[in-house]
Amino acid sequence: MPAPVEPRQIAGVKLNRVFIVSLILVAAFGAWGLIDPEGMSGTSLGFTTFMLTSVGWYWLLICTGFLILAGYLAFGPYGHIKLGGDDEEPEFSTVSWIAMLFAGGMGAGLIFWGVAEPLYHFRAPPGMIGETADAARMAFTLTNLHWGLHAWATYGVCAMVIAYFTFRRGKKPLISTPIESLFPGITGQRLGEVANVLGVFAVVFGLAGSLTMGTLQIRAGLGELVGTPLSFGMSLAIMAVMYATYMTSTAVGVDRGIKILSNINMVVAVLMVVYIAVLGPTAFIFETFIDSIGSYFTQLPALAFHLLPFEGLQEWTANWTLTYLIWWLAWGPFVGIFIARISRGRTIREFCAGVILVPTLFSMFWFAVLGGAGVYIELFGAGGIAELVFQDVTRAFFVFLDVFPLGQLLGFVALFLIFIFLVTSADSGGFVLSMMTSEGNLNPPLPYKLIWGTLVAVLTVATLFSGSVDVAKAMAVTGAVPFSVVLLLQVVGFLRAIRSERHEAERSLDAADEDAQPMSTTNAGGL
Amino acid sequence: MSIGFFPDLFLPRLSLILLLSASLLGCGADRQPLRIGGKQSPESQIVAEMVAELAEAQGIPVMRRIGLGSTRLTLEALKRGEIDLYPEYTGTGLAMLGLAPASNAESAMAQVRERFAPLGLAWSDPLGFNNDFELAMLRDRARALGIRSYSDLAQQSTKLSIGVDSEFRQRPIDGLRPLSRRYGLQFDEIVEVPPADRIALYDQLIDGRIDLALVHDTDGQIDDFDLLLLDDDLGFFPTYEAALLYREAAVDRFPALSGVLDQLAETLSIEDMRRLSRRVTLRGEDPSMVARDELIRLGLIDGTPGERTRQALSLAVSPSANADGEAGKVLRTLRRSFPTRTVQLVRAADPLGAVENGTTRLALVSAPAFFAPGSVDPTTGQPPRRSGLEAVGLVGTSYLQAFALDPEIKRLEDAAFIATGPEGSSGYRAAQSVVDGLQLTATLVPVEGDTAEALAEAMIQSRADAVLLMQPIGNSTALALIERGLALIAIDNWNQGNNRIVFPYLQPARLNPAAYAPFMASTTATKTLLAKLGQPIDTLVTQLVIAGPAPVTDSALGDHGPGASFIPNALPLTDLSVERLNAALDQDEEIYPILPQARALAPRLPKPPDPLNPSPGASLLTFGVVAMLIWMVWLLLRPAARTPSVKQRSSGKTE
Repeated sequence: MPAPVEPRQIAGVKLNRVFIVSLILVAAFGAWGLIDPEGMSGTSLGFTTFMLTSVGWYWLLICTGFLILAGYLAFGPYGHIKLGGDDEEPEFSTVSWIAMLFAGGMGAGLIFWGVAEPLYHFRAPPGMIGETADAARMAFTLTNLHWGLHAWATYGVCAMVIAYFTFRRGKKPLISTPIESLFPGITGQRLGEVANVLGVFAVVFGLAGSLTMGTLQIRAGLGELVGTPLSFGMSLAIMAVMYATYMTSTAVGVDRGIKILSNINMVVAVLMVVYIAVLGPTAFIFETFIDSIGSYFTQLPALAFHLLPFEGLQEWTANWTLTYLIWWLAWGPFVGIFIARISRGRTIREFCAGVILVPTLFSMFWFAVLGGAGVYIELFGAGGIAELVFQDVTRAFFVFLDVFPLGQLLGFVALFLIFIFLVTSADSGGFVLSMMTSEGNLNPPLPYKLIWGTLVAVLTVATLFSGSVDVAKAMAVTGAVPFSVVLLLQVVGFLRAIRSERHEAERSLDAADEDAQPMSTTNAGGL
Repeated sequence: MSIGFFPDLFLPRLSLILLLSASLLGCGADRQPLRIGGKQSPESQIVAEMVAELAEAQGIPVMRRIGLGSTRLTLEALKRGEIDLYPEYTGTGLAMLGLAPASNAESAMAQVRERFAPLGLAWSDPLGFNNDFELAMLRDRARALGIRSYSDLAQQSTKLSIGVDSEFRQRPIDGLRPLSRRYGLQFDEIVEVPPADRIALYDQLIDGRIDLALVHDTDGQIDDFDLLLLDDDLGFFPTYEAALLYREAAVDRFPALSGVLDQLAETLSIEDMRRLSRRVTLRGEDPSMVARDELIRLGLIDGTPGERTRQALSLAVSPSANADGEAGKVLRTLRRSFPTRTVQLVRAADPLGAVENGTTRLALVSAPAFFAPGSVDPTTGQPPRRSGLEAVGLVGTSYLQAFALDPEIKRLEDAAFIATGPEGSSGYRAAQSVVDGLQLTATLVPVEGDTAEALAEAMIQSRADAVLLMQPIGNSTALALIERGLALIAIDNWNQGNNRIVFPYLQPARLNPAAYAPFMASTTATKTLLAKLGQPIDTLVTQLVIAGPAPVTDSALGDHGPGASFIPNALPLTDLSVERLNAALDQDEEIYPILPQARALAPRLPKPPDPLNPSPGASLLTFGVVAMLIWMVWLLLRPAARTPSVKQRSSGKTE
C-alpha cells in the first residue's frame, strides 16, 4: 500500500483527489445543463425514467428493506449500542435534535404539498372513484406512505452507517468509510473515493435543483400574495437573500446557525398547524389524524410492497410513490451525514425512534391538519380547493390559507417557512459537502463551506437562468440511482462491522469474564 | 449549547394556545353569523349577495345560503330560523300566507308587514323595483292571432302552448292553475322547465316551440327580443314589490343590519335589475361578482369593479366574442360543471396564448387557433400545431365571415388589404390559412380592439377592402358589421389544390344570412338589413371549442418530492371535469380528429395484447439488479477474514 502523498494546500483548502475530481465533474455536468438544458434534462430524466419503470420493484424493495432493517436494529440485539463512547452524552438536546433533523430532511415540499397531496389523491385516487369517503381515507394513507416511515427509514439508514463508524469506531465521517471496511486494501480506497465523489455529486445537484424549485416557488408565492413580477430578476433577488442567509448561518457553525434556524422553523411550523387546527374543524382534524394512523399502520405491510401491477397502474406508482423514494435516496447522502453529525451519543434504539418514528408521526399530524382541513372543506364546506389543486398548486395553497382568519398573514408565514426550510437544507448541504471533501473533518474550515455554498448558489442561478424546471428536477434526482448501490454497500459494511463488534465482545467476555467491558452487558441482553 | 429551546419556548406556546381557545369560546358560542338566504332566481341571488357584501363591510359575520330553493322552502327556512334574511316580493309574501293578493303597492306592503309581524318577521323598505309576472309572446304571432290581453287568450287557448317554470306551475294562489281558472284558459300543451333553467323558455319562444312564456319583469330578454307583454285585464296578478324579509331577532343580534337595510332602500330600479340579471342569466357571470360591481357603482363599497378573485376559474375569449351569445353560453356551462368555483371571463387577443402562459385556465377558440399557419410542418405538410394545449369540449361552429368594406369588391380575390382580428387570434390564423390556400396576393391587416364594437369600428377605419372574421353566428363584431350594412362575400373555390388536406381545420359550408335573425332585435330596420344580405353564400367553417392545457408526459418522474415545490405547467383538466363539461355542453358532434383532445374524449381502444417481453432492456437491467443484490447478500454472509494472511490473500484477489 503506497503511503498517501500529502496534498497541496491553498488558503487552508487541501486539494485532495475527491475535492478536485468532484469539482471537475460538477462543473462539467453543470456546464452541460447550462449549454444544452434540453439535452441534459432529457438524457438524465430519460435515464431516471428507465430506472423507475424497468426496475420499479427495486426501489420499493430497498426502501422497504431499510425500514425493516431499521426495525431490526431498534428492537433487535443491537438496540443498546451507542453511537459514540459507551458513556457519552448526546451533543444536542432532544428537541433541538429532532427540530434539526426535521428541518434538514424535509424540504419546502412539505409546506407545498401539505394541502395539495391529500386533496389530489382524494379527487383522483389510483384505481378508485374519487371524492368518496374511501377515497379520503386512501388519500391520507398514500400521503403518509409517501412522507412517512419509508422516507425517514432511508435517511435513518444513511445516517446510521456514518454515525456508527464515526462515533463508535472513531473513523472518518465519510461515505467511503463503511465501504473501505468491506473491501480492505487499495480496492476499498478506490471504491471509497468513487463513492465519495458520487456523494458530492448527488448532494451538489440535489441541493441546486431543490433550491431552484424553491426559489421559483417563493417567487410564485410572492406573486400570489403581493403581486411581484415573475421575472428572472426577482428569482435572482430571492436567491441573493437566500445565499446571504445560509452563508451567514454556515459561517456561525452548526451549533448556532442551523440550530437556531431549525428551532425557529419548528416553532413557526407548530404554531401554524396549531392555528389551523384550532380555527379549523378541530374535531374533524383529530379524527382524521387518529384514523390515518390506524389505516396507515394496518395497511403498511401491504403498502410497503404496493406496485399495482394488476391494475396496470405502474405509471401512477412511478409518478408518485417511486418518485418520492428516489427523492429520499437523492437527499440521503447529505441528510444522512448531517443527521449523523448531530446524533452523537444516542443509542441505536433512541436513534431509530428519534429519526424515524417521531418525524413520521409529526408529518402525519401535519398532513392530518392541512389535508384534513382541506378535505373537510371539500366534503362539508364550500369546496373548490381540490379543483384548484389540479390547476395551480401554489394558488390552491394560498386560497386554502385565505379561508382562515388572517389568511394573508398565514400566507407570509408559509413563505417564511419555505424560505427557512431551503436555508437549512442549503446550510446543512454545504456543511456536509465540506465534510466530505475535507477528508471527514467534523468541523470543516470556513473556506470549504464558502466554496461549496457559492458553487451551489452559482449552479442554482444558472439553472434559474436556463428557466427549465426539468433541468432542476433532473439534477436533483439523477444522483440517486448510483447512490443506491453505494448505500447498499455501506449497509453491508455496517452490518458486518456491527456483527463483528458483537463477536469481539463475546470473545472478550470469554477471555476475561471478571472485568466485563461495558459493551458486554449489551450483548448479554441481546443473546 | 446543549440546552434546547424547549423550556423557554414551551410556556409561551402553551399560554398562546390557551388564549386562542379562550377567545374562540368567547365569541363562537352565542353569536351565530348572519345567515343570508336567497331563492334560485338570479334576481334573488344578486340582491342577497348585495346584502351579504354590505353586511360584511359593516363587520357582520355572514354565512351565505344563497340559491337555497323554491319560495316555499326558503320561507320555511326563515320561519324556522335556519336563515335570518332573504329577498322576497310583497305579492308572493301574501300568496304564501294564502291571502287574496292586493294589486296596489302601498296597501300590499302595509298588509304583508301586518301579517308577518306575528311570526317575528319584518319587511324592509322596498328596494325600488317590482318583479311582476308577465305572459310574453312574439309580436308577429300575437298580431296574427289578434291577442293583446289575457282575455283574448281565452278564445284560442286550446290551440296554444305555454311555457312555465315548475315553481309557477305549483303556486296555489297566483300560479298557473289559478290563472287558468280566473280567465278560463285551457292550454293545448304546458311546457315545464326547472326554475334555474327559466332562460330556456326564451329560446323555445323564439324558435316557435311554444306560443306563450311566463316571464319575470326583470328579465333583460323582454327588451332584447322586443316581446309583447299581454295585458292582465282582470288584474289577476298582484304587485310584486321587492324588499328584504328578515327575522326581527337578527336586527337585535346585529344592530348594524338595520343600517345595511336602509342603505339598499330604493336603490335598484327595474332597469338596473334587468341589466344585472342579464349579466347572470345571459352572460353566465357570478352573482356575487355582479353584486359587488353594482355596490361599487352605487358607491356603497370601495373597490375596483371586475376584480379577479384568486379562486376564480377564468375563461379567455377573443375581444370580439359575444358575452351575450357563445361566450355567455360557455360561461353558464362552466358554472354548472364547476359548481364550487367562481367563473370569470377574460378578454385576450390570443386566448390560447393566455392558457399557454398560465394566465387563464381555459380558452374559447376556433380550431385554427391551434395551428400556426405561415409555415409548414414537414412531417404532416400542414401548418405546425401549437403544443401544450388540447381541446376539452365542443361548443359549436365558427363561420368564416367575409365582409366587403369596399362595395366594389364581390370576391375575396379582388381585395388588396384584408382586415382581421389581432395577430395570434383564431381569426388572424384562419385568414392567414385562407390567403395561403387560395394563393391570394392580399395583405393582412391585423386590427386590435378591446370590445366587439371597437373592433368593428377599427376594422372599418383600417382602410382595408375586406374583413375576415372566424366566429360563430351571433358574434358581436359580425353583428356590428352587418348593422353597418356591409355585404357578405363568398369564399367558394376552397376545393382547389389540396387545401382540404393542408388546412383540415377549414371545411366548406354554406352560410344562410337568415341564421343571423335570432340574434338581432326583430325590427323592420334589421329585417331590411337581413334581406339585403340576400341568398346563402359559400364559405368555410370550423369548430368552436373550449381548450385547456395538455398533459406534459415526457418522464415517469412525478412533480412531487420533498424538494419539488414547483410545477411549471398547469395541469390538464381531470377526466371527471372533462366528462362533466361535455355532459353540460351536450353536443352530438365529435371534435375534429386533427385537434389534440383531452384523454377523456379520445376513443378508448381495446388494448392489443402486449408482447411477452415488452422491453428486453428492462429484462437485462433486472438481471443486473438481481445479480447485484445477490452479490450484496454474499458480501454480507461470506465468512469474516480472521487472520491477517487471509486478509492479504483476499485483497490480492480482488485487485
